[in-house]
Amino acid sequence: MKNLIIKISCMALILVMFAEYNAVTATRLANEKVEQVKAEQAAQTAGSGTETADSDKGSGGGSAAGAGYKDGTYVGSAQGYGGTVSVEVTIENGSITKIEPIAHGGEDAAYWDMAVAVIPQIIESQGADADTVSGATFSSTGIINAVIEALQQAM
Amino acid sequence: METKKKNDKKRLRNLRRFTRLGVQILFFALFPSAYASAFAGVKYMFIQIGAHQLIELTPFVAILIALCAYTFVFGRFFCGYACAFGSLGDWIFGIHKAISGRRTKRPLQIPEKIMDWLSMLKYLVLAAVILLCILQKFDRTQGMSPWDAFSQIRAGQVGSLSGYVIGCLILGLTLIGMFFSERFFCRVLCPMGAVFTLLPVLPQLTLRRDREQCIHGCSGCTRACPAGVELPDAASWDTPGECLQCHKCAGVCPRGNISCKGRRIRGDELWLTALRVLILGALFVWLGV
Repeated sequence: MKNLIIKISCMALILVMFAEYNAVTATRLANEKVEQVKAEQAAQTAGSGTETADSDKGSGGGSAAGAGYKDGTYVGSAQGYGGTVSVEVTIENGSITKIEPIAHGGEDAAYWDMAVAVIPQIIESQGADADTVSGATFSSTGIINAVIEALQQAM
Repeated sequence: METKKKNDKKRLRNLRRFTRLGVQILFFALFPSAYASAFAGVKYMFIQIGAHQLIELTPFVAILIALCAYTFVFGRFFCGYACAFGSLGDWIFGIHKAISGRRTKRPLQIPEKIMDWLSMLKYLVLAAVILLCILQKFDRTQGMSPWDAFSQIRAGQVGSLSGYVIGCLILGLTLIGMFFSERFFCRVLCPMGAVFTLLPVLPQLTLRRDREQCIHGCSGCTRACPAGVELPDAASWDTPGECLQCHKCAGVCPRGNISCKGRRIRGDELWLTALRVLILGALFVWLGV
């Protein structure tokens, strides 16, 4: 009985520590976000307003600044983990506005859900300049390569 | 009369053995990546901590939590019946037993004392992986995991194996180990197994033995056990962390001494196995394993 109680107590303690870590980190990230917004506002009122019409965050990641893709919808495919992955890429006004997966090659749902997280990064960088998702490397590489194939049709 | 009872017992035991084999094949075919997904959850948590980021409820973390909660209630049933790697080890060891022809004694085994020490290695593996994750250096081990190599082969991706040379090597050595020693990977190397041994487990559905009824000097259960477990006494609240819930002990005990706490349940009943399989299967389907 004693051993079981000790194990349960240790487990509870570990869970509490993880929860605390998350709470502290969330607070810290929120504070950093506030600082960042304040800094951006200060920069704007100082009169340096370079707004690009099509990006929603003014951060300078990735390529394709003005590498105007041809408007339209393109389908690209590539090898994922267990089969072929296909995506439909929508280009409007020269930029990628939407990426929709249309086929996932036999990936388990858990891995696929993790891999599609790479899509917002691709849209933000307006190119295939995204990091693969750790733990779902093959699936996310498949998505990235499929997007590249689609973009090549849009060049 | 005696022989009929003995035959019935034997038939029931064979039925249970075939059921276990069937369940193992089922999970091997339908949910082969369960182990990898759960462990990916462990790695993700510590990578996030090392990067000072939030630990979000990703699918991997959800699978990890579900599997640990399941193990808390049912013991390491996942290990004994549903883990693809464990099943593979059982089948390879089965080939070894069939070849060597000796079915009553375990052929060519590593002495238990050495296995006891070797079993500590899996905690080292777990600690090393966690450390690498925290230090954000885990991606340097890309291609070295025998599990990843196994997943690639199972998915038919033989072409990409060139990136998994070390992984294939370790996988090969592991399979050789599993050929000669039952559940070698599980006892000695499996980091997820290390996590499971550290978890608390409720005794209501896990196995123990009535020591007072044991035949003096028998230890048939321990000898039949793939993990060499010495079951605790019937009144104990403890569950041995190494027990894989394979129920070979219950099948072998000449006195039928083995049962769960409370003694109402034996632990290897077919309805209980079916219940556990259904719950685990439902969890996996729900979580997208």
